[in-house]
Amino acid sequence: MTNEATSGPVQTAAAIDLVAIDDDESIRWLFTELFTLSGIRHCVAPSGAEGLRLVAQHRPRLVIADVKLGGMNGLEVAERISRISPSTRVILITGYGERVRSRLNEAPGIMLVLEKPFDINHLLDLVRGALAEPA
Amino acid sequence: MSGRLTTPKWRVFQESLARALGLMVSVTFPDGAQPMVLNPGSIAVWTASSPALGEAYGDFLRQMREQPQVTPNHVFRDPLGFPTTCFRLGKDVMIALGGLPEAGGAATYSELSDRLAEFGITETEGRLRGLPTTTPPHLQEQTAGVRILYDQLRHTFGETAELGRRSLALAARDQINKLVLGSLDPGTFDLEKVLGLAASSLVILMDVEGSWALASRRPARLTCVTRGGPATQLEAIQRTWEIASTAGDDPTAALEEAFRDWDAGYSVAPLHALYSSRTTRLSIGVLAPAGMAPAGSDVLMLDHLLSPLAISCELASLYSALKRQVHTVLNAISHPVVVMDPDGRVGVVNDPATALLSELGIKLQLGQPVYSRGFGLALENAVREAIKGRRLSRELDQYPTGVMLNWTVSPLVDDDQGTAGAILVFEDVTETVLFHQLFHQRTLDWEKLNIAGQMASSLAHEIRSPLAAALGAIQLVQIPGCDAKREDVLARLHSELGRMNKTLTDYLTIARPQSHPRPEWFDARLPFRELELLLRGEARLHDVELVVSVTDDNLSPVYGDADSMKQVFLNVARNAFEAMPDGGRLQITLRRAGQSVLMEFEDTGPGIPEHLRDQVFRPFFTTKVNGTGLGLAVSRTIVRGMGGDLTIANTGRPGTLFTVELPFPDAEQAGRLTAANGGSGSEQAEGT
Repeated sequence: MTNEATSGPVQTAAAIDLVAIDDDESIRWLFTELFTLSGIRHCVAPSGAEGLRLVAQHRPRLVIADVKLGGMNGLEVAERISRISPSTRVILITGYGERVRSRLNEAPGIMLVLEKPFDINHLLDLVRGALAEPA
Repeated sequence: MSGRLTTPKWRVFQESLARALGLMVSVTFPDGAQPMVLNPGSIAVWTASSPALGEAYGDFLRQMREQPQVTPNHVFRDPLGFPTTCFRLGKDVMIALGGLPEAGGAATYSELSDRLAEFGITETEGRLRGLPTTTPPHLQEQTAGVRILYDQLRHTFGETAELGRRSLALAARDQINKLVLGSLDPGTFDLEKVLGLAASSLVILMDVEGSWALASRRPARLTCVTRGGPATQLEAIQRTWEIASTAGDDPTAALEEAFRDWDAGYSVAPLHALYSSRTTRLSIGVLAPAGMAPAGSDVLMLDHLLSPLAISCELASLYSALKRQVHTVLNAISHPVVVMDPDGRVGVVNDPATALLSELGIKLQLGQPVYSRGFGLALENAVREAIKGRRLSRELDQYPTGVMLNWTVSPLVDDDQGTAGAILVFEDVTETVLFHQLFHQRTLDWEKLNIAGQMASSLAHEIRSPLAAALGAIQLVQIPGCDAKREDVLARLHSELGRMNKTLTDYLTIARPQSHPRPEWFDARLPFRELELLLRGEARLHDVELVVSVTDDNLSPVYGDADSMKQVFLNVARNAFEAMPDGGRLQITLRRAGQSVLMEFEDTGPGIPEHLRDQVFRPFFTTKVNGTGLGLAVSRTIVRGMGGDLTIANTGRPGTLFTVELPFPDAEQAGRLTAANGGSGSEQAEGT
């Protein structure tokens, strides 16, 4: 399990653009397959704590985090990221529905809230757009 | 002598005495003469209705007469077992007193009821409890006093010397006072009885045709007694008194005016004495033969008798004022209050109690016992205990009309000896209880809604994650250049759809618990035996030491769905394993406790904080990364469906103790569980 947290095509500090945090192994598998296929330099983490460690280490351009994470929720993660790495933008993913989504949208530091299930092509467009923006 | 005691004057006197003392007074004469039995109470009614009892009393009195030595100290037992005492008047007359059951006596009221039945008399126990009672010492004391009174009256009657007659009359008067005032207490004080005895005594003491004793007390209380005749004149005197009193005039003035206008043609003339105070007017007098100048001793006699009677009147006023004050105080209390005397008879009922009793459909009469009125045995026994000096209370006593009462019965403490009765205080808590029930129900409703909301929200999340993964996997293979293996994607799809199905199944188990239970009798050790290999394997994986002890071989079959029970066992054990990611120890104990089997799972994990204890059984509550939060919720639902419970406790050690408690139901309970589960387990229940 632990090796999965730092898995990704590139493992050097400067080369990571995206950290994806989800406690669901299937979603992590999907991210890994999708971003590897798309050539996005990324790594995945199964928990908020592990994700934050990777963010501090790599200072990625973008973080994708599930709202519900064991121990720490996506909002807390976003808040911590805004202090650890202020230039990092955050996309939250939620399975809770519209009401939660609109509330999350108002939270600071959050670029976007996506609802599960999501269109992976749409997600890919969002990720590419965010990474293309000047830092 | 005997002939004289049977004259109407004496008979009236004996009747008054019996009434004043509340006792049976019987006078027996030498052989052949019919005994004279005077009784104001029940014995008179009973003997009148049952010739057998009348005969038994006749025999009893004759036997008592035949005792060579009788003293007032000797206590006989009458045919009903009541204490009786007697004394001789001269050689041939015997006077007996008794006719009341003994207070706290050996014979119970049901025994008394049986004895009466032998004589063909039917009385309910409740009515018998309402009878006044006496005690042998009290009876002996009264008998000694009556004996002195008879002796003095008899001598007065026979004494001709003016001086001797006067002194004996004074002594007789003193004896009347002592007898009447000494034997009456505030609870039973009756002015009419006192005046009656005085009027009767006057007829004998002064050897006149008739007498009266008239009292008028403010506000509007009249007590009028006349004895003897002539009736016309006595009635006129009483009417004069009543009219003046009712009109608010001074009745003593009206009477004096009437005497000034006394018709000289009458055969009798009035001789009287008056007492007047702020609240009380009193007149006693006699009708002596006309034309006879009243002797100085006669006037003195009236004056002397007047003062104790005046005291009696003032006492009566005082008692009623006290009663009014007690009522006023009790009515100021919003709680219903009933006060009873030592015989359990109702003395005071305040207004709130009157209202409550009518709501309960209970009718209480002043002076009647509180027993057998519909209060219920518990309260009646509490009254009896309170009279003995013990305070008892009960909460939430529900009455058939739906009224919910708290009540307390306390002894009324007397100055000198024990208790003077009991005081019953109610608190009507019907509305409070209803409010609490409603409040509790509302809270439960809110809680259910809250849980339902959480469940729906969590369910959405739990379903959408595998859905996102599955849909994502499908999209993934459509992306050109995707090199993910088709088998991998299909395996993902298969497992994600399986996850969704499991989540939905778990959810439905909570929403519709035990939808297809197969209840049966099974050994409480069965779930563990069948899961042992699996659990030991998982324990090794988690680096957990698994210790199992079965402390009791007598884990007789429990009733329920054994497969569901295995699920519970597995859920709770896995929960413990997962609580110890760095390894530890899980102690599983199966033991018997009373009518239950306990399955205890004690782990050495971090424990569950106090504030989360209630929440761990809520659906979708989890602190674990990969938990659905359904395991414990489902387990508790299953165990409760079997009539047991799944609880969490603090052991004082690090870690958590989960306990599955399953009852050993009897066949009847098992049948109910089966019916409640909609199963068809009755054949299995019979098969044990």
